[in-house]
Amino acid sequence: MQAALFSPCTYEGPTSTSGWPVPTTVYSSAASQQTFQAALAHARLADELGFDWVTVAEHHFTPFCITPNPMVLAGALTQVVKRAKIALLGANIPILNPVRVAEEFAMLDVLSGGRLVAGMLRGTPNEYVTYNINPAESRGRFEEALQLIRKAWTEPEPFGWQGRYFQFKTISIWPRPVQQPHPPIYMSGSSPESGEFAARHRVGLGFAVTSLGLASKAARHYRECAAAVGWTPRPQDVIYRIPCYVADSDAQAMEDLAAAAAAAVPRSISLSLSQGAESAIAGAGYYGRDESQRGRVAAPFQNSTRERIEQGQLLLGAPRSVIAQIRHIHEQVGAGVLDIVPALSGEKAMASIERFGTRVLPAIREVGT
Amino acid sequence: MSAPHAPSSGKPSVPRPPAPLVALPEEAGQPLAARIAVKGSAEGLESFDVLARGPATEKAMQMALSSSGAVRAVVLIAAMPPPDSALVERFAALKIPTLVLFGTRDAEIPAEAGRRWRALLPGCQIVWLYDAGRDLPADRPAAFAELVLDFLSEPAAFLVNRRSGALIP
Repeated sequence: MQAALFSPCTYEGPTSTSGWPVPTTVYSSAASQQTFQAALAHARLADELGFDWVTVAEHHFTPFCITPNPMVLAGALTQVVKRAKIALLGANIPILNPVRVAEEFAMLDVLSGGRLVAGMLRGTPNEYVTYNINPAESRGRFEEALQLIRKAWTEPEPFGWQGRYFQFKTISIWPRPVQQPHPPIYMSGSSPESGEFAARHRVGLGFAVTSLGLASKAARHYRECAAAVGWTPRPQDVIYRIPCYVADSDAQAMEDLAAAAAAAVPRSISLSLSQGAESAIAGAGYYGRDESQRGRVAAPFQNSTRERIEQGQLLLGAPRSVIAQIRHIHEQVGAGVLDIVPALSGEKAMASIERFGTRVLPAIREVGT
Repeated sequence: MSAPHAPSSGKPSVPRPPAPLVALPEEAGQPLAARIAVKGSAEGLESFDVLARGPATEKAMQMALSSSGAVRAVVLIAAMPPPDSALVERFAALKIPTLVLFGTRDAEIPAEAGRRWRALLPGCQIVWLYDAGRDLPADRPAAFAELVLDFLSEPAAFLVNRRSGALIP
């Protein structure tokens, strides 16, 4: 198994806690700077410890993740992370200009010497409000954008694109990606439709904010669809993202987590819209055929710590316990890349990353091989 | 704001008056029929555009070569360069504005189709019609018609968006 460290760039300063979008009437620019410095420090440490990837994400109008353009953070990471791959999970391509995404990804692949992993996601439902895009067209825009980006990377002669959602008279991007024919592509794969599309287009699949039940079902569907079109996904074609805190003992881990929860400045981790807006997005067919997808974003935070560990929503404990939890996830989902999210902040996060790198990572190397 | 077709500075650009469109084979122009007068042959025309599909490409090139300047623009649909390289070379020398269209779902068109055309006809415009198979005009009629009409209205200005982007006046 390979390990990735996710830098969510959760803003650590004072903020209001109301829904989404989150106002900035209470805001600290020093805290934002501190957040980015911590993210760069975490990524540098992960790289030194032998993590295989560092990952970043895209969210808007929220302190939960202050990287509305993850390309910018990834650009900084290319100068800090010397060896590990740099994964963008994602770009939310349906709400962006796909040609610009192809150009920025290509730049990052050049700046990193061919270490870019190109995640292309639909994003959370609220992102469709962000850039005023109809969520009913999310899947259509996603599928078209992905094919356009791939074409922009691989076509050396100028070409035009007469799409359904995107129209360009001529495209000829500079620079070209280092990795040929193009950087590895991943998409999020919780819904049956996503698994089918990923299989048909031979791209990797990532799971985040999920549960073992949902992810194992979706991963099985993806593999079945891939087999039907004549290929077999490799273990590293499936990513599983999960919050993680490694302590010296299980008891210490529980204690630190509880203390952090009690002491934490209340901060909005919600990407939830108002009831009316949420119903409109669901009514637009955003969640696809599998309605169980709806509400899964909120669910993990309502479960107890024990339930979260059992359902593959949290890695917590001494290195030995965390190794066992990871083996269980691998058995259920078959994921070859584990993308861990620091569950605590500050010094505790650094110490946990260090323990993971020195005491967990060597032990999970042979898992799934 | 000025009219959508007027550039902001310089000489006003006037879209060409519509020319007769000769479709080879005839059914290629079907979805355009409501908006452009389509003829099946060039007989009696002084100036015209040619729309050709697949194997009719060769005939379109021959027509351009034999009509002494009457062909103003050429649209080629789901076509690979004809094997007669001398014909293609002579057609290229005419420097007639040419648009080559492929469907992204057309299994018979290889990924390098655009490269093949651009090597032989360096000035041609390649456009991929997303989510269309072999029968582009039938698969995405509105997208096909919009593109072809845009090209034929002013081939030299094809790359420039001449529509207003204002959402609300």
